[in-house]
Amino acid sequence: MKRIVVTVAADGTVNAETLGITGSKCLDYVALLEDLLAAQAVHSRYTADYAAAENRVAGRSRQEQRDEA
Amino acid sequence: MSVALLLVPLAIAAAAAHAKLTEKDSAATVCRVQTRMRDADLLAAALRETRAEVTRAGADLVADWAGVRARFGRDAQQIWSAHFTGAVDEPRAIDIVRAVDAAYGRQVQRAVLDRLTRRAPAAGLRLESRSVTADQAVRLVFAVERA
Repeated sequence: MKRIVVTVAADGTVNAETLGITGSKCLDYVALLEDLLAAQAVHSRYTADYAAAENRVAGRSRQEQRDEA
Repeated sequence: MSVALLLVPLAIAAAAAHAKLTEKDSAATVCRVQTRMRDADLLAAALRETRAEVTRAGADLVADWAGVRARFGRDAQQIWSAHFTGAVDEPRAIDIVRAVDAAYGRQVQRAVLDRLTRRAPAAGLRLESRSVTADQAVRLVFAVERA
């Protein structure tokens, strides 16, 4: 299941994290969260699943190249 | 997990995160401070939270505590500055602004949570859980029902 965890601090700042949303699809949620929260993203970082998804794509691509050779 | 974000609500000026003294008259009772606060309604609510009596004077907000008056006006960047008069010196003015700033943060927190929980269903997000952490942050977990 895809999830978004939003933590609103007592000073009004917001931390948000997407869970189970891999690869570049997670970027779609940046604009959604900015709109929902009436906020501006000032910092972002990719987490383990993003890298895992990218690695899976790269690994599959290399495997396909070997199969074709 | 795929992306983690830090977001600053538009009601908070990112450039001026904390109250700071920008000007001080030779008379000890007049101080001018700049704050991160931007939203007039939230600021008025924050002032009331600090037990101020709040009145509007044109575009300005005037807050009265016992013996202390602060007039809040906006600069060209829409950031509020407070001009203190009365039984107040520089440390007291900064203490007051810090208290107002903390109250303003709580007002922004409430406004953000209200907006988020109201608008999330239309964006395909279903609230699964809500909890409050030891530092009074509110943590919401949403299930994504549609992209």
